[in-house]
Amino acid sequence: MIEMEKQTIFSDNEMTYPGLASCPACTSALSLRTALKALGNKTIVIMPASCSVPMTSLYPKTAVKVPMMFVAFTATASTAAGIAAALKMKGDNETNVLCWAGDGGTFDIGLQTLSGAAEREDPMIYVCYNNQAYMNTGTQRSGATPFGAFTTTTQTGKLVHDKDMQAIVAAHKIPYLATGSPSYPHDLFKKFTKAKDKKGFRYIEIFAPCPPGWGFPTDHTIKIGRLAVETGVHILYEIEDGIYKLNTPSKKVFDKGRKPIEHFVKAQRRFARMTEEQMNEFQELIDERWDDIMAHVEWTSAKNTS
Amino acid sequence: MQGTFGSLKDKLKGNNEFFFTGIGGQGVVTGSNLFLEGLSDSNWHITGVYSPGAERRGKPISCFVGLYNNLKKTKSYEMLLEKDVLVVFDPASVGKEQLLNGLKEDGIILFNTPKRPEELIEANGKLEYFNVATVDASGIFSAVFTEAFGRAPTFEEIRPNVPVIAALFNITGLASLETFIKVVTNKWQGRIGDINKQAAIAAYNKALVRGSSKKGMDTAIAEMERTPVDELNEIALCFPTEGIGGPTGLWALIQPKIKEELCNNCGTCFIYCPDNCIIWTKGKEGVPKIDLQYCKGCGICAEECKESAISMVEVKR
Amino acid sequence: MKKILSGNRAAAEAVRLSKVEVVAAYPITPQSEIVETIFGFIADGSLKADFIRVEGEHTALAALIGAAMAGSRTFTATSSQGLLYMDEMVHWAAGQRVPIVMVLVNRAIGPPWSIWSDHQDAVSMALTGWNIMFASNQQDVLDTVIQAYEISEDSSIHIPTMVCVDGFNLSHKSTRVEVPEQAKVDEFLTNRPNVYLDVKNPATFNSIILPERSFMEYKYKVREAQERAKIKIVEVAEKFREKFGRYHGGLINTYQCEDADAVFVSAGMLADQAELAVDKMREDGKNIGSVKIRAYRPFPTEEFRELANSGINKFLVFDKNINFGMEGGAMFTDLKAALYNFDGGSRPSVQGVIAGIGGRNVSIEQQYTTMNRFLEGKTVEKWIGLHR
Repeated sequence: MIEMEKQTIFSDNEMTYPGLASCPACTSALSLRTALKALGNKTIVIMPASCSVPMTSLYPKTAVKVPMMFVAFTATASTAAGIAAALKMKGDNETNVLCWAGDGGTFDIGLQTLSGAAEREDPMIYVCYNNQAYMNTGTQRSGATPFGAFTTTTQTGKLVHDKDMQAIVAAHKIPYLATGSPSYPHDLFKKFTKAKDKKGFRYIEIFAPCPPGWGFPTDHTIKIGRLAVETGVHILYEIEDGIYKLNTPSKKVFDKGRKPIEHFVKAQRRFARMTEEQMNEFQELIDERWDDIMAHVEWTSAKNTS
Repeated sequence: MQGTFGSLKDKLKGNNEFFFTGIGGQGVVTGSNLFLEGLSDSNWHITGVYSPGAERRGKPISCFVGLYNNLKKTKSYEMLLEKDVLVVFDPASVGKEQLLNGLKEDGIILFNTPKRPEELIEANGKLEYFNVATVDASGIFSAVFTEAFGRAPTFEEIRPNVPVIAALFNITGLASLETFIKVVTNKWQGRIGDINKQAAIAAYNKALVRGSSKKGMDTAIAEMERTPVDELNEIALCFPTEGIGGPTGLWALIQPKIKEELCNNCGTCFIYCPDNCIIWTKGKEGVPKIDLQYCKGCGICAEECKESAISMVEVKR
Repeated sequence: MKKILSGNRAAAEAVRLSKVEVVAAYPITPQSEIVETIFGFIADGSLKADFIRVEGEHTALAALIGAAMAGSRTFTATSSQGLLYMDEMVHWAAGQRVPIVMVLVNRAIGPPWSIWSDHQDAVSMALTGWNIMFASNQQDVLDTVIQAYEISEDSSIHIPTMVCVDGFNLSHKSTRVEVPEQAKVDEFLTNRPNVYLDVKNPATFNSIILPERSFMEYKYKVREAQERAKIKIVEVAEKFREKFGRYHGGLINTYQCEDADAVFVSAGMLADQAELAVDKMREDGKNIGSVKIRAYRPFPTEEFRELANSGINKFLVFDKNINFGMEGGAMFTDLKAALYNFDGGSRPSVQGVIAGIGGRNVSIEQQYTTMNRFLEGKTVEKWIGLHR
């Protein structure tokens, strides 16, 4: 029997060609590269209208080495459900069905189709790369835009909080939910490898800092992602069959204590006009979400061991 | 020949179509609007049409502005295919063959590039059919920015549009520096306004101009690449290949340089490159190599290298 | 084998016999029975298919587009509001060149609310690039759905087809229907959907295409495919006649048109009923015929020109739809357009009436009376049966 070499993030099975039309330092491009490497060449990618579409392909060329299909904005999870059904009828239980949608296509216009697919347990890996606005069309606000952030449609800062999409998807009781970040590539790669071997509807939400949209220099991209974890704005965790598990980077933050979100906010021009009051409100929201996740970690792991 | 006011004025005709091209993020649309504004008190009948290449930052954008003696021409639906004046914002597209498609013989080209017209013509003989002007708009803007902020601008912060349009007004004689500055300061105030104003002043008469020297251009140059309908597949599909965004290395002002003696082959830069531009195999001899053809100069690798083995150096072109 | 089948159940039988692989549908009156019956076939093992219980019609068609891209034979059914909810995907499916077959159980479009039959939903899809066919009786439903797969999956066609079934009047009315043998249907269906998404041949679909590149050309190809479908629809109907001994028309079906001076033109069940009106007028000694529009898209332009050339000088169109902004209904508009530009000598007289909106009854008597007024040169009521 031939021993198949285990794929790692250092493997050279690149599934994307260089020369993408993405902005320099694009975290969607980086995450896609990591994801496809973990999933391998038996993958079909479905992308709705988003940055990722014109970044990866302009007729007649594409940068992605696996079959890929662009779909209307709302139709990511629904098209994927159909593809999964076709594969099932062919007896193919190897090929991965990967949805690669932005926050607009997940939190807003794609919410219904995602919910339907999750409830039906349609087999797919649904990835939302969250750059927290409609970036492709010039940075308009989405349901994922954080409180106080500047976008072209919230020019005095967003006045309402963002949707807790992770909680919404978790409520569907799917077998696997994970958050990820290209700032922690080994963790991200591991999660895709894990997701690949699971069945049913899997959801991975990637925190995707966007230099032109958020207002920070391109070389700080990875740092911003780290700051998000260090301040608790983004928590790295998994929910596997109902058990919440904190991943090492966030565990470290839990032990050391979170940095105040001021660090995160001051590093980006989109929060330049945030007032102190708004900053406090934002801190409160982050505290709330943090406590919520920690509580879930505690009582689901207690349930598990009891 | 140093560009002086109106040096290419007599190359303008009764009806002129200006084609502005660049990539998203360079301010091509704003630039063409500034151009329109600068002409608002002139006697020309003017119309500007925005033609988005695609929605993305980094993707091709073109706009067209028509200057007409004949008012009726402003009713034209046509997105122009024939150009009288071509204004190129993106230094990276200087070498692109299809850039010249549709440009009329003895037309005007203004390039944003640090190169001189003679250098461009040497690289591409076809340019001899046109009046070629160059201005280092990106460079001029960077210098003004650095002076004001005490640091060089990042890739996204560079806006070559104001200096390009300033130079354009100068070589065509279509508006004085005074008129253009009014337009600029009307649009931007504060620090940004100052920088743009300084950039306009700095660039206004900095264009280098070289008139056309050849006639009888083979119009085959102007033919655009079109596949006859019967030769197409029934359904549009795209095949995997590199460089779908073009030679994106040309976007970079700085690119990484790896100091071999400091590199410990950990592969961190390799993992973090969003564009797959670090050529490295784990376990193989030798330090990573940078794919300069596609590296956009984002600087992540330099920032994340734990051994400080990577520095970002200015690209020489 | 003969079974007592409603239009809906006949459609479901056709889906079973066609060995459809992926079904995605959302319940809506009066279509629900199709979906329930198919479900029964899957449950009892007589159909091996995956049924995606979608949360909305847009999802239904999006899922089928995905499944068809991966090479599955697909089916859905809907009506009125549901069709309009998936309208974005209806346009998409044609451009995507996937051979989806849909049964459209015709139902009026609200508001006001109605669950009864008219053709507003079908004609609203005229500009999408789908083949739009109308069945006029239960046997027709069964046979045409099977034929639809042979038409759409042909490698030279690959555009989707919808088969229209009048809501309630046909979908819920039962009669004896001949259900063909599985083996014969297996022989009849010779094609398979193309496989576009294939890990062995990776490619990206639906990338953006610049104006001066090839967008216009790809849309031209959809149109050309539908032009070929004109021929294919006729071909497949003949093939079906040869194999199964039944014929419901090609692009049109005619009744007593050989020596007719004037004809009824209609689609769906009204077309079958028109035959009874023809019989009644023949009893009066009038030379009347009727034309059934079996394919509304691609429109049977050549067939109608031929009929006009053959001496028919009066065409009376009964539209169960309203072409807002134009005179009468959509089929009336399209027939006039088809007859305008041809070198057939003098143009025939074409008249159109709107009838049966929201399921309003259209009687043989009304058809008879309207035709008589037309023949006598009297003014024809433009809206038949409107309460004034």
